[in-house]
Amino acid sequence: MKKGQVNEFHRHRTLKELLIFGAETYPDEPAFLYKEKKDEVVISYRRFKEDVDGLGTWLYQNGYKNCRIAVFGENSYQWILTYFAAVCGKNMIVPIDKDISPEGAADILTDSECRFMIYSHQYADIAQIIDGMNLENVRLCSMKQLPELIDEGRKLIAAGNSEYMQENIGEDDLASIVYTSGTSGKSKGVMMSHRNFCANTYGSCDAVDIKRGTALLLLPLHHTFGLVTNVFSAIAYGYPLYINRSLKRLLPDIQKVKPYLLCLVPLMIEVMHKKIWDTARKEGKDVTLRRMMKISDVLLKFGIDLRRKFFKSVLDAFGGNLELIVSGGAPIDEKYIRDFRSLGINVQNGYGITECGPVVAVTRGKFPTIGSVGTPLCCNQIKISDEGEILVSGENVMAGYYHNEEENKKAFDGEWFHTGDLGYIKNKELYITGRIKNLIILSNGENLSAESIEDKIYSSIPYVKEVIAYGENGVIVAEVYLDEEKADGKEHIHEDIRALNRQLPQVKTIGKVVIRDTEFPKTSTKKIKRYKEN
Amino acid sequence: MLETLTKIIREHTGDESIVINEDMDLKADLGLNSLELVNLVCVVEDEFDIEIPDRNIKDFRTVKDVIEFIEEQL
Repeated sequence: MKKGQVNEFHRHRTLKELLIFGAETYPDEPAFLYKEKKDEVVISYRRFKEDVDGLGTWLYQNGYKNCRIAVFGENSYQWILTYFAAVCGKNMIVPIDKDISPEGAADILTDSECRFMIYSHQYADIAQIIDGMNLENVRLCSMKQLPELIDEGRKLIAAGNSEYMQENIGEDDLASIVYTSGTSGKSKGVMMSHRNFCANTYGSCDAVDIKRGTALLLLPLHHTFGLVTNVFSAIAYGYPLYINRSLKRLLPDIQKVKPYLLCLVPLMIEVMHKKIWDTARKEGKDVTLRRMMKISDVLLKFGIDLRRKFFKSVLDAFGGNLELIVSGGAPIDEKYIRDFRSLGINVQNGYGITECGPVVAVTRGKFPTIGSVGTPLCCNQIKISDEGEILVSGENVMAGYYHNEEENKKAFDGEWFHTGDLGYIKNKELYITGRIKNLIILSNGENLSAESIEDKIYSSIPYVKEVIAYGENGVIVAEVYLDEEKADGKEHIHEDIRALNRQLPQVKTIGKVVIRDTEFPKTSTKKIKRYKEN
Repeated sequence: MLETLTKIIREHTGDESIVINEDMDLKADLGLNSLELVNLVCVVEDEFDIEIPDRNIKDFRTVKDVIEFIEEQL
């Protein structure tokens, strides 16, 4: 069987099975590639499993069994290793967003009852603050110490300790608690089982045409989108995964790795698009490029595909092999899909939600319907409720919210999960029209509670009578209606928002202020209508 | 410093008429999103031959923050 073909052979029950499969099927092939200082490091599938077994055995030996282990830091091999070492034993992994505040991280550690946190050295200062909070029963450990722990674990294995390696993991055992933005601003812990992740990995690979090549990890690992579509999928198909260490190296790494496929959030696609047109403009070729795209589009209608010849120089800027981009995490402007298609790069637009693994649907084939987010993955079914909400059921749907019965009751109707997103199905394809939940989804895939931002504005700027926060072009917009009794509010609002921004984490800073002359339209219960009526 | 940064920002935003002052908010006044800010940092790194870790980019709110960081590194 050729690599890259989707087959039941690749369907695994647990992440431990996936790890063993990779090590047994492609033992000496590269699993992970990354740059450390000036060296290019290559980790084979066999070595990856040995490292996981070493660290996992150390964890067991030191009493970390049947507990939650947090991982905190930027994308790295050590991050992935920590993840697998936890889930391939009877532990649950709790990924923590590296951009979170120390208080936010402490809340997650407390809520999930973590006993151990492995952090990246880059975030040692945050770890130190957390350590100073004297959280009950939480031990912190730097990723710098991992080689030592792995070594100790290996020695234990050599001495006959096989408890960790022989641990039987069931498909309904919980693998991870993933914290996601709640509408009230308080994060909710999404419990994901091995079955959930494995079903979604298989479903994602089944939906996307995967060919042999090196994959490039650009998405943050604490989001399940990157984890499933890049890491788990790469292992399932024996692909090497190059780990990008900084978004500053987004384009240089694309040129270096020459990927066939990229999984990205819309913001990254926008950056690539900007790069194409900035370069064309600088070289005075933008008008010619646009004209060539039109000619190419016409030829395509007659079945003549000359895109890779016409736009070779553009495609070479992205390594020359890039044929497919899977977009997820946030809605994408259709103009990017059209432009990339004209240039020879097919953008498959997807829809997902953390609670569903995360991928629910994705467009298929070379010429997907623009505007749609495609058909459901083979691992789940979709239906639309009478209220227009998208409901999902399937093996990829989460086990529930961690000790949050109230939210669980709201989220499930039997086997059907309420996504909080609105949409419709036409010709078997799903279209998204809005959200019930007041979440701001920025084009970098970041989810923020609109209310948490609005509350900050209300509490710090008293003359703001009404405010709605939303995302637009990758920035947060605050649309405000000011108290008419405060005559100079319009003069001060920008300055006051700027002052507020200085107190907010960068991810929550307000990038644009829109001043309304009239109050917001209200619902019958006098709540501000967040969405325009169609 | 402000002059060099102005040149970089003008080139980056394509707005040759933009007047930069130290108090300008990178998001609210210059309209930069998170990845545009990362791209701007790449140009700043090349221009001043310094390295700006990802961690520090997250703390940049205003033009002044960028200038202060560069001055510390030089």
